[in-house]
Formats: sequence, structure tokens, C-alpha cells
Amino acid sequence: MKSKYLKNISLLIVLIILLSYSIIPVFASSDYYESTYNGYNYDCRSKLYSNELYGEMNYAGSSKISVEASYHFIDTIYMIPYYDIITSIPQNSYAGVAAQLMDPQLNFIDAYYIYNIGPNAVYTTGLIY
Amino acid sequence: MLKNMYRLIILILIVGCLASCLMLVSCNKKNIQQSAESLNSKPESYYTSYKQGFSAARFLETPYGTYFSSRDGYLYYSENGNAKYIKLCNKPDCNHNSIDCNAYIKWYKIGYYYKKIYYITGNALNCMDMDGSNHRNIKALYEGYDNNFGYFHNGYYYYVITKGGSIGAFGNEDNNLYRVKVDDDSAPEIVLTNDAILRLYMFTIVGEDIYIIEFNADATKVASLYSFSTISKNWTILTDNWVGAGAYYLDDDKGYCYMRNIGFYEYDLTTNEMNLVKPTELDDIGTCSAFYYPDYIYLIHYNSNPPSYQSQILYIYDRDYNLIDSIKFDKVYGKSTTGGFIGDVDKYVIFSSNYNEKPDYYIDKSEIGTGNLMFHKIED
Repeated sequence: MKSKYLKNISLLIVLIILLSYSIIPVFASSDYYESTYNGYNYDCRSKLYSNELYGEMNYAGSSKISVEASYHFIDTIYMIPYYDIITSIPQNSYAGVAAQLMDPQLNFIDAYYIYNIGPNAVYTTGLIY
Repeated sequence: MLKNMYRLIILILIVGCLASCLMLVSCNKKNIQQSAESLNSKPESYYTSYKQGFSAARFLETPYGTYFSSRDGYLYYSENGNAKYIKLCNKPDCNHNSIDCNAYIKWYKIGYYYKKIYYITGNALNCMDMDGSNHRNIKALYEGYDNNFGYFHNGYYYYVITKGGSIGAFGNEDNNLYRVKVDDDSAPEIVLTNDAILRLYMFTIVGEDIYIIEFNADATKVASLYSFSTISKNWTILTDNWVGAGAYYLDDDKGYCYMRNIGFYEYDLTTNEMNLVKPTELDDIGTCSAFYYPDYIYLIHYNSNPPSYQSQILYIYDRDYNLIDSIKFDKVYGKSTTGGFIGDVDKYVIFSSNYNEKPDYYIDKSEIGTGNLMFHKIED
């Protein structure tokens, strides 16, 4: 009986150790939002990793949509900040922006996203890495 | 009779209101003009040439005062850099909190050239008067929605087109450095074409030469330094052991750089020799940036491991590499906040506790080396 408990406890410990490896925190920040505009559904997905960012939007209506991301990254060797804004091409149903930094010394700090349907900003969000 | 009196009083009140509004507008113009008269002791080339700072094309010293392009999309003005930064708008009925405000430019890159502030929004070059009024579009730099990186220098905007979003990003396909004259309707021109532009770290313009700093593919080295003569069109590699933006300076004769945890180097541009001229004795942790100005070299040591903006010490050297003074800057709060050195403006060294916001601290240069060096708060 006692050995059965020991066996179960050992298994549990092994499981906890294995799980601890699988739940290493993912260094990312993300946001998801969905709603309707003029009776049609839209959704906005924002993600910010240390060296990548994404902003994507889908809309079921006929208006053109676009995404803007204003972001801030640093050169960790010289602690110099960089600021930029990227804008997607306005188009129907899907629009997206993405940026991926090529050097490991460059790290994103934060990003602000604006999601537009036609000329109107329908959703804004900010992510901090 | 009484009715006429009322009419007269109302008329006087209306005229009074209009006159006070006009006075407010003209006062703003007058203040900015006065500061030009009091500060304009340097040649225009001093103000129109790109200078080192915390980030390209966001902080401007001009004969009319100091301008700061903030992350919030607004342009701020300070008379000497150490005085309160106010949104650059003189519209009497503006609450300075909407895209209709004269100070709202949305994008960040600003430059000065002969009594005008120039700024980039997307692919467009625009300008405004020094008091923030009279915004107008000048020309498009290129077609489409790609981003660009660059800065204003001596009447031109120099830039690279960054399809990937930024320099240092994957996806950049255009290997040209362009420039466009800011005050006429001429088309942009290609200054140089080279694949090093695709891995551009920074570029520096000195006279007729352009220096390109490229991210080094060798992980043990930081950057490579190239020179390009706009006259002879010669492209030369100077060294593959250079540093990045924030730790070097180039003039007609020499290159200057700081190698972290080693010291100050000088590169002789005529003999191509690079020598360690001043070893430094900082703790062997953290990292440094170095900004070279006519009077001083500002070495900033981020002395924690890993390096952090919360822990930084400013070392001030003269141009012969003698350490004159040092002071801790501990005003940056929050793990995701960046802040610190902004620039050297006339009598002051400007700092910010948060780079996303307007500058809020300064050093009075007359206090350097006196034993009384301190950070002063830029008060409202």
C-alpha cells in the first residue's frame, strides 16, 4: 500500500517537473477584439514579441480596412530607442501589418495599434512587451 | 437711446475680444521671433546639419528655440530647451487635444531649414512655419505605403525605404539611399546604391562623404564602417570592427567611437589607422552609449546586468578624454520605460525620464566640474 503511494507521488513529481518545462512563460503580449460595424463582423488581432509584431484585421462588410502600428524598439547594446509607424494598404476583408527585427540586440518595447474601417478608427490598443 | 448704448457696449466688447485674440496669436509669433534674435549667434549650417541625439530626427535645436516631436503625435516647443515644453499651436480656439491642433503631426521625423520646420508623414514631405502655423504638403517621396527611415541634413531629407517597417528589419528590399531637397519641387534622387543599405544600422554625412554603418553578419562584431564619396563615387570599407548608432561620431579628419568596456578609439581617415586613445575603468558589466559634442563627450553607463534605463550614470569628458564630472540619473521608473539623454542644447544638457513624453530634466553646463552638478526639473 505504502509503495503504491510512493509510486503515485513519484509520478506526480515527474509530471510536475515535465509540466514546469512546458509552462515556461511565452515572452509575448497579445490582444484580440471582435465587434460589428454597420451590421458586419470585424475582428482585430495584435501581437508583440521581443523581435516581432503583428496587427491583423478581418471585416465582413464592403468598406476598405487598414491597420496602423506605431512602435518603439531599442538597440540593447547602446540603449538607443527607435520609433516607427507602419501602415497597411487599405483593402477589402483583410488588412495586416508585420515587422520582424533581424538582429537579436534589437528588442521591441511597445506598440500601439489603430484599426480602421474606411476613415474611422474602430479599435485601438496598446501592447507592452 | 438706451438701446444704442447697449449696442455700443456690445460692439466694444466684441472688438475687445477680437483684439485680445489677435494679441495672443501675435504674442506667440513675437516670442518665437524674439528667441531667434537672442539665440541666433551660430551659422545656419549649425542648425540645419544633423546632430547626435537620442533618436534620429525627433529633437531639434533651431535659432528659434527647441522643438520636440513626441510619441503622442504632437510637436512641442521650448524656448531654450530647459524651459517648459508647450504644444506648438497658436490657434485661439484650439484645445490642443485633437488632430485639428496645429501641433499635431502624428509622425515623428522633424527637421529645420531656413525658418521652416519640415516633417515627414508616411511618404509625404510637409512643412510649417516656426510658430506651428501654415502647414502644407510639399511633395511625395515615393508611391505606396512603405515606411522610410532618415533625417534632415542641410536642406535635404536623406532616407532609405523600409518595406520591412524599419531599418534592422527583415523584408527591406530597396538598397538605395535617397535624398530630396526640402524647399523646392524637385524629385528625389538616388545618392548611392549598395546592398549594405539592406542591413543599415545608421548613416552619417560629412561634407561630400557619406558613411554607412552596417549590422555585422559576424556575431562577434557589432558593425562595419564604409565610406562613399559623392564626388568620385568610390565605395570603401574602412573597418569591420566599428560600433553602432549611439557610440560614434565622424568629422572631416577622424572617426571617434566607444567600444564598450574597453574605451575610446579614434580612426584616422587618411591613414586608416584605428587606435585606443583612452581606456576606461568602468565596471565590467552593463553597456554604454557615447555622444560627441563640441565641448564634451557624454558617456552613459547603464551599469546593471542586464542593462536597464533605471540604472545609468552620466560621465562627462572633455574632448581630450579627461573625465570632468559624473552624475547618476535615476529618474526613469518602470521596467518598460525608456529614458535618459536627449541632447546638448547650447548651455544645457537635456534628459527625459520617459522618451515617449516631452523632456523633463536638464543639466546646466556651467555646473560641470564645479562639484555642484545636478539634474534640474523642467518646471511647468
